[in-house]
Amino acid sequence: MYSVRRWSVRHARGIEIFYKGFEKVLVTLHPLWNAIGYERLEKPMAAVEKVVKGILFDCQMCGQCSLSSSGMSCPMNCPKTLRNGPCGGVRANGHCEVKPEMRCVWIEAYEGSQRMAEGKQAFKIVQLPVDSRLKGKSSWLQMARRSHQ
Amino acid sequence: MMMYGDLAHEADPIIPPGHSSSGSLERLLRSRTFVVTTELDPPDSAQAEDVYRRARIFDGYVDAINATDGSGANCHMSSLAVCALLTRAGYSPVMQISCRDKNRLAIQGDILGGAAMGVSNILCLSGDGVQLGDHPQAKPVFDLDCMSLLQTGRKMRDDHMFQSGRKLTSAPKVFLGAAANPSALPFELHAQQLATQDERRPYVSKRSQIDISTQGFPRCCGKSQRLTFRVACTAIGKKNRSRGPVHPNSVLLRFTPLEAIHELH
Repeated sequence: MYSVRRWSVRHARGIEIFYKGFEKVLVTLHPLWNAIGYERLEKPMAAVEKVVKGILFDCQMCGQCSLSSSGMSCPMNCPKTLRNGPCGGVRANGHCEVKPEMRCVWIEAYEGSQRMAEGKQAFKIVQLPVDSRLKGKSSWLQMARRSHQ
Repeated sequence: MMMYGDLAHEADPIIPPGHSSSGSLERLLRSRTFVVTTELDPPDSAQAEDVYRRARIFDGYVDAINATDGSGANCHMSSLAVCALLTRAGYSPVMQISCRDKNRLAIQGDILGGAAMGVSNILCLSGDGVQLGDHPQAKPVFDLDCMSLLQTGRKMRDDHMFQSGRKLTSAPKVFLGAAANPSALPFELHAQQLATQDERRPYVSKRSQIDISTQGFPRCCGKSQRLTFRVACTAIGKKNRSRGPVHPNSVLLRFTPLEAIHELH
């Protein structure tokens, strides 16, 4: 939902702090995930992630979450799905050229990142193009799995 | 017929030291000359003569000709084909690649094909949204964005490999460019985006050609003084598009803040 999505950007700092703790929990629980089996967990975890992040960020389940480096504004909501900053078509009022009723996702992202502690630097990281094999998969599980590889 | 020195028929043209391409645009930009380029709106036609007719208008006025890639998300002759025709006739084209219509396979194929046809300059763009064009039903691709496209082009040119890591037998010797809209808000964000290109990709900044398409750019320059981009001014007449190419005299008149341009050099 658009208004909730904008709320999340306004509260990017709080969400950043929460996410940091949440990440630690996910990573610590790696042995548990491993015992159950990552493959088996994929579907239920992705479903939970879709609901939670769907409400908060209008998550599109690209499977490669970059919220922490885009000021808690999901770049996949950009009509061009740009992952490295805005296009040149931002309107004078900061709205999208394709969807005039929506504020530019990247202007929101910039504002959000300025509120964050680590988000300011992370904002400058150049994101790799999306790996379409990961679409619909849980980025939380990937994070937990990657930290133990 | 204008001769620009971008020679398509030479199998292995000489690349001056410190340059990434053999094209005249890079040479001119590096020599700190004031450079004027223009956009050529590819025709809605299957006739090569239509391309040449549009290009001839600019003979004697411009240093390079941009071939747009489906500008405004409207369907026209492909940028690659227009560039191939222009190099045959001795023009110096800039091949625009937008991420809207092609995925990474097609784009990398076009970079190789363009380079093989004698294209020395590539301008990496995100592309206009399909919703604004004449085929709003089309699927927007945006597999890459302008930044990852630059990265891909650089990897092909400097590391001799596809994005996947597979080796190329011969790398495309091209001059890569990025675009900025300095009148778009917020200035800080756009300036930061440019600076990111600069810091993360020194190879781009030094070889970059920034496409200044509005008069508002001096405002941005103040905020991004760290940037030492060389500037190619592109004249485009969005309003005149329906009437075909802009007349060169009106094109040159667009660049009023000349001092600002010199400051950038």
